[in-house]
Order: sequence, then C-alpha cells, then structure tokens
Amino acid sequence: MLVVNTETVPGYRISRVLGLVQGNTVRAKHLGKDILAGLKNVVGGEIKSYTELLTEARRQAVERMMAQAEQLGANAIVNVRFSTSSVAAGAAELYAYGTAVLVEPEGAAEETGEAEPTA
Amino acid sequence: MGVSIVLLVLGLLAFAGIVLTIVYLTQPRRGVRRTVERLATLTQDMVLTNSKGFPGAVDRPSLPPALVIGQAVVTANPVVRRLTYLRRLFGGELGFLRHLSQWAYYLALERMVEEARRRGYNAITNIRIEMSDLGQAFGRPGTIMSEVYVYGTAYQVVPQQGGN
Repeated sequence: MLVVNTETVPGYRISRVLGLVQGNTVRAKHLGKDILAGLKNVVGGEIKSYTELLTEARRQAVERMMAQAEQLGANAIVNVRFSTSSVAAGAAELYAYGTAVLVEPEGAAEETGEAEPTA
Repeated sequence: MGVSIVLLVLGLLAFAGIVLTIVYLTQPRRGVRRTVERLATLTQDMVLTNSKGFPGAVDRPSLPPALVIGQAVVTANPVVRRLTYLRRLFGGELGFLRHLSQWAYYLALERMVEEARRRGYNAITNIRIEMSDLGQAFGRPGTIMSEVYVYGTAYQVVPQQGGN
C-alpha cells in the first residue's frame, strides 16, 4: 500500500476516492521508565524511552489506518496527517489520518478528468 | 432464615456490581460502535477527503463552498479511569482511552457531516482533525477527557466520481 502525505502520488492517477481513514493509539511507558524520565529532567537531553514510545505509537496508528483503508478496498492513502494529544497525564496519544484512494499507474486507463473544486 | 436473606441481598449486590462494571467497561467501545453505524448510513452517498479536491468534483457548484465544523468532548467513567491508572503503571497500550478518543472523533465527524447534509452539501474536502486536553484544564485533577475538533470545507458535487 502506498502511503504518502502529499495530495497526489507522482506517476499515479487517483481513480476513486474511498473516504477518510484514521488510526489512533494511546500508549504509556511503565512506572519505572516514567521515574527515570523524571530524573532525566534534572540534566536535560533526549528521553530515549519517550522517543521510543512515540515511535511505537506512530507505527501502530499508521498500521491501523492502513488496515481501515484495506477494508475499504483502497490501494493507497494520500494526504496523511499526524496529530497528537495527551488524554491522560503520562500517556501519549497519536492520531494518523488520510484519504483512502484507488490509484492506477499513469496512462493505464482512459481519462476521467480530474478537477479541484474551486469557488 | 435471616442469614439466607442477608446472603441473597449480598449476592444480588455482587451481581449488580458485576453487571455495572461490565456496562461501564464497555461504554467507550459501545459508543464507538453505535456512532460508526450511524455515520455509515449518513456518509453513504457522500465524499469525505482530507485532500483539496478529488476526481469528479465540479468546478461550478450551485451552492458556494462552506466551512463545516463538528466537535465532541467525551470523558471517561470512574471504572475506566481507575483501570487506566492501573494500566499505566505497567505501560503498553491503553485500549480504553483509545476507544474513548475514537468515540469523540466519530461523534465530531458525525456532527460535521450532519451540518453539511442539513445545508445541502454532499462532499467535504480538506478535513482536519484537532485534539486538545480539556481534562487537565477544566476537570478535577486526574480527570480523563478527550476533545476532538473536526473541520472541513463542504461542497456540492455531481454524483460521486463520475459514476464508474
């Protein structure tokens, strides 16, 4: 599956828009890591365990988004955006969303005429 | 005789407690399911995208494009909240909170879609999702709240994707 954060995929043509797809996750590190992170605040610098937490969260959110797109029968997700928040203290929430589309390599089928709606 | 009545009452209380706990625990998940079902019927003949445009969109709609907004604030019930605190000690994914914010997301999306439909639009483009943490600002300490804000530009378009 093609996952891009641009509106179009170079070399491909969007033949059908299947709708908005999204994936999210809320994750936390265990208490020990939280305490170590608190200690790390004294000296500053990167908190490795939290970087890792966000990496895991991002991967999981994207996987869920891809699963949803697959269910719709899409073969690509365009315009992917990420959003984060903190629902509870000590937990990271990550949201990924994009548009599930069907793409075909350029020049594969007849023209359908692409137009951006403008006022 | 007296003992058996006490036992019966205790048993009933325990049963009620278990049922209530299950109802509480499944609340976010049920919320998501119900909202998704409603949303599925609402968006059947609509195009939702977070791109600026899509194939088949018309250049000159009869209704001018308009900004549509949906938002929802959802809070965790006490059972979910306590379990979340417990779960946080061990780390990993907090599934209840995931469903909580999914619930808020789908509710917000539903409201946005409803507004667009009411005004006669059948497509929403350039959708953005924003989240904030009202709980820390407004709630008592330890409140778990999820606020989701969804907005996009509604359009009126010809039947979807040139019909193929």
